[in-house]
Amino acid sequence: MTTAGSGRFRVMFKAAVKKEWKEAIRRYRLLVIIGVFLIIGVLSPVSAKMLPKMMEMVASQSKEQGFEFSYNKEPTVNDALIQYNKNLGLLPILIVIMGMGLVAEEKIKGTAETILTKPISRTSLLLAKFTVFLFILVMGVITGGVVCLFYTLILLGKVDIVSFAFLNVLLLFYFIPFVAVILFLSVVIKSMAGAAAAGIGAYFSLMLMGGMPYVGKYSPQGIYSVTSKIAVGMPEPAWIIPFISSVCLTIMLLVIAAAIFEKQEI
Amino acid sequence: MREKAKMETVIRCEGLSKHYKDINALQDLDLEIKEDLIVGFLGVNGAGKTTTIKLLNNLIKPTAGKATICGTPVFNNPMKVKSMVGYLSQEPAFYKWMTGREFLTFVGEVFRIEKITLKEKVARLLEDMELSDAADKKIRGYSTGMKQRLGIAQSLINDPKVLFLDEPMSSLDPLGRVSVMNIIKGLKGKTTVFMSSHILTDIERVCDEVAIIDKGKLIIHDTLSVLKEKYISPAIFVECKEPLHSLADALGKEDYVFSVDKEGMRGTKDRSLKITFTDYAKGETMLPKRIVESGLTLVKYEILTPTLEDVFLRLIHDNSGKREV
Repeated sequence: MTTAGSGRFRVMFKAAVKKEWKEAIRRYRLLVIIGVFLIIGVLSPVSAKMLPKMMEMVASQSKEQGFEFSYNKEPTVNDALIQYNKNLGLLPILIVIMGMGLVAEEKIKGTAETILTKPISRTSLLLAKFTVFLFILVMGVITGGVVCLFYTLILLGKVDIVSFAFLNVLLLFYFIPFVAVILFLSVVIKSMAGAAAAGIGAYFSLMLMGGMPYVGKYSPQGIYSVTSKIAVGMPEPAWIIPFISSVCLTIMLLVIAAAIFEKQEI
Repeated sequence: MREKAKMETVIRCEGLSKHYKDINALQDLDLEIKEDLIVGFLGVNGAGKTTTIKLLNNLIKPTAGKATICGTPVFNNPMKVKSMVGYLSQEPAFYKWMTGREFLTFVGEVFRIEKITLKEKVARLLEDMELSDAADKKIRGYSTGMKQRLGIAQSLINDPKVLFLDEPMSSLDPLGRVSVMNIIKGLKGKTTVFMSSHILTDIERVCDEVAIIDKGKLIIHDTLSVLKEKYISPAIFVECKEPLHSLADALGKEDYVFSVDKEGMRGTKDRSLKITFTDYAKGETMLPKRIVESGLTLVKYEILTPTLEDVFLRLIHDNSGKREV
């Protein structure tokens, strides 16, 4: 790209990012995603702390019905982190739902036709959508992480901040490929519902892939296994390969989506 | 206005074609549009009007042929072309969560218009389009007419050399149509307007030239006056006291008659006819004779000035090899 070309791309990208950001705020995408992270951040340590008391209540009710069991485990920091990791493991479904219309909606409603006749490249439009979604996720992870850390410290005791921060960074890289997946599907599939259905299908496929022997540890889903190990306090799990495959999958999907979008007839 | 020959060509299509599987949406379109004219692009639904406009705006790719806008190849240098044109789609869509001002500002930013200039330009366009009062309201609350005017405003933000309007008045009520038509009239001499429509009266009121397309092929492109002169003679309106079924049938068989419109005109039901001729001179002589021979009582006999509708129908019928009686 020439200097003038890159300058033009920067201007187009900036305008598109500004628009996407405004849209995320006005259409509550930002609020919903941050809200979900916030709730998970609060609920994970709280539910870990409350679990023994809840189990005690269940046990006493069961005893009255002639069925006895006991739950004596004291809640730990790891319980909160396991809960946090488990709850966030479902976040890709939210990503798919929130992102299903990113491109498909613009094509269906006709805004793509209005905008793409202006000197804005389709790639910059796509990258702007990805960047803003990514930024929202970063904000969400920070919000959820800080809140979870705060409540865990208050309710359960000292947390290894470095490994908790590392867990959050890895979780972010677990989410990112799903943004690329839904963006890609939103380009390729003409309906929003179709993109969402395919996105959820992709989520379960990646989940299954993550559980497969040999292949699993090389798949982006492998990151989730790593974060699960960090949550239970395992030292230095092998994170590099799934991390790289997550980044590669994201880049690959974005490149293909941009190439397809550039050639698509509107 | 400068003579046509001296004017610069702003739109040039050479052998432009677009095929979809079994459908030839556009076939070998050769077209030259000179600068600063308002050109009406006519055709029935599915004739290829929108396909042509979408091709020239890089929304779809051609199967064959080439096109230039202000000398720049449309398909090789899309960004440069986009920076020179304005486009309003048939049903303009906007981000409804934005206000009118925000939308125009966003479009202006894409065109890299400087902040201060853009602010002034947006305010001026909103005023010109009578949208100043609604400028800071969400677009979701705009009426169809307001959206259409906002659509025109966004298409003018870059002071385009060529403005493409795809059926700009099709979804509007009469008041909205007049308003949009006045806006288009106001663009005369400032930019080249290439406007598709099937509302012929609107085209007739604002356009300098007309291009007619049918079944993906350009049938004719000329000035309105030349088209009227060349392709159609005046029509004659006849109203009698009696029903005119038999006269209509008899005239339909005459070789100098092109068409006999039996639709009740001006509320006269079956007592009036509009007759167009293949040989007007003969028709003008023969028609009164036929009326007298039929023993009809003439109430009104009027020579009608040909309209674009007459030209359009004639050319479309000629192209389909049909003759309507």
